[in-house]
Amino acid sequence: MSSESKKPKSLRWEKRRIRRAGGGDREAFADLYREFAGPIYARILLPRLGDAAAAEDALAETFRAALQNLGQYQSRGSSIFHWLARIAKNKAMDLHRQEARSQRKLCDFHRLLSPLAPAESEPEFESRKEQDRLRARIQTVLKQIRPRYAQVIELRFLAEKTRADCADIMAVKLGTLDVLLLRALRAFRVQWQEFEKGDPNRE
Amino acid sequence: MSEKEASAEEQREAEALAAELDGRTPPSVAPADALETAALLKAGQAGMALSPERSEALLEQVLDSAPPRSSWLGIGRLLPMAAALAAVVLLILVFTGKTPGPETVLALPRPGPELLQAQAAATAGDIGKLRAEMHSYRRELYAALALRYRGRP
Repeated sequence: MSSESKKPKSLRWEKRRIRRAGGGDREAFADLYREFAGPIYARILLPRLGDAAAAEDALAETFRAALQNLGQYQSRGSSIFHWLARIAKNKAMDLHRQEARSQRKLCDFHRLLSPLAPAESEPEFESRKEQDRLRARIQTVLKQIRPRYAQVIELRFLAEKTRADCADIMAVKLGTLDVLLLRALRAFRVQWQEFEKGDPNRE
Repeated sequence: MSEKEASAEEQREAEALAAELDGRTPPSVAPADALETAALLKAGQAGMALSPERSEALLEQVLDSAPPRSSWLGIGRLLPMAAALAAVVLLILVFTGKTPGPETVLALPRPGPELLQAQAAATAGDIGKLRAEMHSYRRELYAALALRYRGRP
């Protein structure tokens, strides 16, 4: 999976591979996986699960289910991406249901991303471009919240400092830092959502 | 700093959030809104793309765990072909008339009155006439069989 932008494959290309993969051709299935695993992971699974390991598990489950049910797939003139996305969403929901049992904390932040993300109907995946857009938007929102909130978020999430280091740098006790971070995240969220409402470039 | 004092509830939430972010067991349920926002910020920092190495490793896992479909599909494709072939063979047999049907059952020659009289005479001891009549009847019988099964062993 390349992080570079790539040209989407044609429906004819897809159909040929779907037919061959349905007949047991592993290479054809691998071609489909390499084309769609990236967007399914970045656009569907990671935002819904908020955890890379969980998103990887769900990605494998998604393609396992796709491989088993490829014979039932009917294109109806659209990309197989939509079918895969539907399977992936169901897998993400399954993982949320299992969350209590697995004791893995899962955070669904796809609603926060949705105004920023390109239309899900577009299988074309340009991960670098999408990533740049997300980072730029985070920076813009950080500038719009109180400097102290922006500082604690930058230290904890962008500079990836430990809690103790953050408390030292900000010259506060650990308990105060925790409260500061909670308030900072809430302020960021409110501003993020406000920003999305007033974004003139919003699709 | 003009931070207002945190309420007990806010402190509890802040502690739970800090524990969750550090991967420790939180003392209470961490606030979902803050956790979601933290996940968004982490995704912005770490990137949303799956590395090519991880992607290939997952593909291997998927392919390794898949049942071998090709053999089943092979049988699935062969079955209709075999059925079609059997139908063609059946049609050939029917239309070339090589299979004996009820209408082609061989009618053997009926024994004539002479043979029956010779049999009656044989019961009284005159066996010579019966031998002669049987010889003639057998010839008729063999001729009928030869006509029906001509050329076959």
